[in-house]
Amino acid sequence: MITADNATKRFDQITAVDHVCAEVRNGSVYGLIGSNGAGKSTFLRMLSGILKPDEGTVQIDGADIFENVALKERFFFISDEQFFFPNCTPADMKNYYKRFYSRFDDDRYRKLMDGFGLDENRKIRTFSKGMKKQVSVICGICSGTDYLFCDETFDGLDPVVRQTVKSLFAEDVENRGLTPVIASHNLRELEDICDHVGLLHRGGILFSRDLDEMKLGMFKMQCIFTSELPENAWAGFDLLHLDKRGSLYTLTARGSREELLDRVNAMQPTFCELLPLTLEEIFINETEVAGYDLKKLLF
Amino acid sequence: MTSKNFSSKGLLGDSLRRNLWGFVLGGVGFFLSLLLPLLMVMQRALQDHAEHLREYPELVDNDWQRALEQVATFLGGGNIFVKTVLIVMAIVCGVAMFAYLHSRQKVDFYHSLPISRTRLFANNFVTGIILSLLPYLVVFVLAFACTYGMGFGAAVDVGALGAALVSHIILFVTIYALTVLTTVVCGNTVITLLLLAWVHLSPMLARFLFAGLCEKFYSTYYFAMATENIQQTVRLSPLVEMYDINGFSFNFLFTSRIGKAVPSAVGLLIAYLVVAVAATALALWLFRIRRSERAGVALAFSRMKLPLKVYMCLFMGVAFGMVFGVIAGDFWFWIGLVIGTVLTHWIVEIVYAFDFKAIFGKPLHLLAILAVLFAAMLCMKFDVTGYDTWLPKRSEIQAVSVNGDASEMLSDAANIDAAYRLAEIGCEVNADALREQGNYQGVTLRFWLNGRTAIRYFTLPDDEEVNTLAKQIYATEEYKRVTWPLFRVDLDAQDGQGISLDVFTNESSYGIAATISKPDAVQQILTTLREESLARKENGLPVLRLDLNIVYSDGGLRYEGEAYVTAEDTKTLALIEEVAGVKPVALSAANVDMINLQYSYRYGDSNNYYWETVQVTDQADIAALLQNACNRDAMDLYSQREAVRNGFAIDSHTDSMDITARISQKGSEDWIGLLYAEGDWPEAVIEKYRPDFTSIAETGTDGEMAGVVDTEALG
Repeated sequence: MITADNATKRFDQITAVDHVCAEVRNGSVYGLIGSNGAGKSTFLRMLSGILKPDEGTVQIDGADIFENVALKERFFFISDEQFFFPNCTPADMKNYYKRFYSRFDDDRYRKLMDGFGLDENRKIRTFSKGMKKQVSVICGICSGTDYLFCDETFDGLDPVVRQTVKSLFAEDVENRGLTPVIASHNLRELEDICDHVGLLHRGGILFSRDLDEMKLGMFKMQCIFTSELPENAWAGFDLLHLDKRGSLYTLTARGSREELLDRVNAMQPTFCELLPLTLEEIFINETEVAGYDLKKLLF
Repeated sequence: MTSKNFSSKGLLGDSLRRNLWGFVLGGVGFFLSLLLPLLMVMQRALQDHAEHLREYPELVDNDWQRALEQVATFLGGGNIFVKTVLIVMAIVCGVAMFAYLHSRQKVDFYHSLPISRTRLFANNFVTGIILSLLPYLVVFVLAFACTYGMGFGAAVDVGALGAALVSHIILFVTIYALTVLTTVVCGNTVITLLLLAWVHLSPMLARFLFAGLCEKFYSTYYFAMATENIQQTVRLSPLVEMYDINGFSFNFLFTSRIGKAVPSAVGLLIAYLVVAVAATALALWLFRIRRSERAGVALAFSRMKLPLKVYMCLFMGVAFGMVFGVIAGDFWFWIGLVIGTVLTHWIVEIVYAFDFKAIFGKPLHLLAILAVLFAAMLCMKFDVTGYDTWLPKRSEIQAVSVNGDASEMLSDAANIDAAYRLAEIGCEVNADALREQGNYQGVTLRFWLNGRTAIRYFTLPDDEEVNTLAKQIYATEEYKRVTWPLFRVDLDAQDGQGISLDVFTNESSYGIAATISKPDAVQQILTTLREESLARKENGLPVLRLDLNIVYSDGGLRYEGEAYVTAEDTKTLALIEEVAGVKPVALSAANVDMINLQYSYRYGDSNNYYWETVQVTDQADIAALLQNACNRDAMDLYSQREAVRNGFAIDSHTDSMDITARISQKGSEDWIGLLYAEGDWPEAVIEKYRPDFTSIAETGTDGEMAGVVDTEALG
């Protein structure tokens, strides 16, 4: 398990990561979201042992990551600006990584290279930005590490490849307990893969929650009432959001599914249905409760 | 590591494969600097050898010997092209192997890999060394093989080649380690190269600057630009020293030697090795603690910023001050201090922040640096430390040299006493006032004090006591034996060296009357002259001058100094006449049609002089002027003090006016200076032509060749 305890990183006068506390459980997919400059990359670079926290600790299974070679063999870092040796091919990079990652899976590498339609003997400098990302992802997945740290990895990938990569992640999570930590500023990109999300803002973590947990106690409903409802009609509901357009009410509220349905049906709507909550909506609601306007934080 | 693939050897091989450019660069560089010139020299020598065997058999031996020496030079430690390539490789590879630290992208890549920084450092460090030295060694072995293969095996001195190889490697590793250290310290490659130039050159230049400051503020400070000071100073830069070391000894690039054995460079090489090890250890430690986020900034370690800035500001402040002072005088020295310091502070702040807006940052630092600089300068100006009044205790002095270098120490008690009295006089008098008056002379005394030396330059009054003391020292046998080239030159020269003597007479002007190079004759002449010169009774002027040259087997010459023959040295004169057919010639009025008398006149209370030249064409006056004269140019004696040091007493008027004669001989016309022995000054003729300076002083520079000269130039 990865734990960050009051992890802080300063660049001269700027505090990029400010006393962040977080836990990443093994086998989960952790989404790290936040606006540009929120400290996502810095946090990931601390996780990867590139940066040493100025305060606090960043650990895997209770051991500090920085300069810990044994721990570093357990993760692979895909930077937002990947580096490849000058004039090298994917095969060269693979061979280089093989020196460091003992569980590197050669067969899978070849299979994935073929699957993605990449020539392992072509110079990487001739690849497009998306193709370079694919090479990094393939090397990362095939390295056989316990953790995969991805910084804006889906940027530049086309929708098909993006979905494929997510599927690969899901497959490895299921098959061998891989723990991907994915940093992104795009909520929509993470919602179908992450099961745990941390929101970073101005270096500090606003909250870190399990997505299912959040979804379980929070529902979105659309109801139509023929007659005007009294002002106190929604009293007793733990409302997070309420919107009225004519006779159509859209509300987001906390509570159990049955309890909410029973209470709304008791008000005799002509129409009532439960809608799935997007990650974005969950975050908007959570952050509004916390006193932040998520739209200003992320969009 | 658990990876079976991960081993230092495998990683090193990987690094080497990825940096093949280094092998190519090194291979081409060493081929062009070592193998190619060697092949060219050998091919040409073989061609000449075949030709000479047919047409000039008498030249064969000499030419072949010269070819062997050339081959030995290219193959050994004298090849400056190889040295240059080694320096380039040390810098290029040192920077290239660690330049990844200057890119965030690369730092993220390398520092996220499961490899310790120590191992990463070792891998990169060794890669750079192999990239440079492997091509060198391969080309060296090829060159070695070619040398034997083409029949030049006699040129190979395995010991000398081994020494050259070892010294090259030590110097390379030192420069390489310093380069790596600089690269690790910086966060930007351009800044690295600038700092590298600073690292290699600034200690040396700082020493020169400090010497300049001491010379400016301390009247007794002495820094000879042509003696061991230069050599000691360049030792602060292994990059410069690379060219001065040949194997385990020095090349004498920055110093001269007279009659001394070749000094060993082993101590210096060991010191450089220690520097290399220390720089490597420091670089490793800094590499391990270096923050990855410092990629792209000017300096990776914030704590270094202030000391480095202070050093640069002080250095540049003094440099600007010295330049301004030289150009425009003392007042501008202080302006230069401020301008240099402020400009440097601005530039350093801009570079540190990579932001022009930071130009006025840290004003308190600037003020503090200026305050320190001015305090230091004022301390020197007012001699707070008492530098100018310091004298060693007489009992501490074991030896002393008078106007000489460390090899010219006098240990006779009488000489030390006389020199010490000169030093006491120098401390008692007001040097500035003496200089103002213009009637002074200088003496440099080097005291040997229980294992250390102290050097002082004293400004002394040109009075009887000082002159008597100086003459007393110069007249001693010890002084002559220790300082005269006649005694210092090694008559038993080895290593294929010989001695030649160029003979000059009063009629020689700037040409050589004869050259004596037969070893037996040279040996006999110099041995005889040594005996006779020590037995001279009078202080008559020289009648012959002998230039002593060391002759190398390739025909090259090294000038060692001068020896003089007087009319008293009859045996020597007879030998020279017998060997070279040259005998002393007096100056004759027959081939002189004009003599210029240059008079000077000091006006007012200032240090300025009017000077005027009068032409003498009257043959009787010309004959009178030439009667007891000696050719100053042929004898190479240009001042009274120089003459005294060589055992001659010339008339004291000689330094105050210039007398030149136009001499026609062998179809050419030359101007020669005239010199007179003490008491032989042709006063009647000189006074006859003396101009009326009163009218000249009133009318300014109306004279035919009137001008203004500085007192010191005359003094």
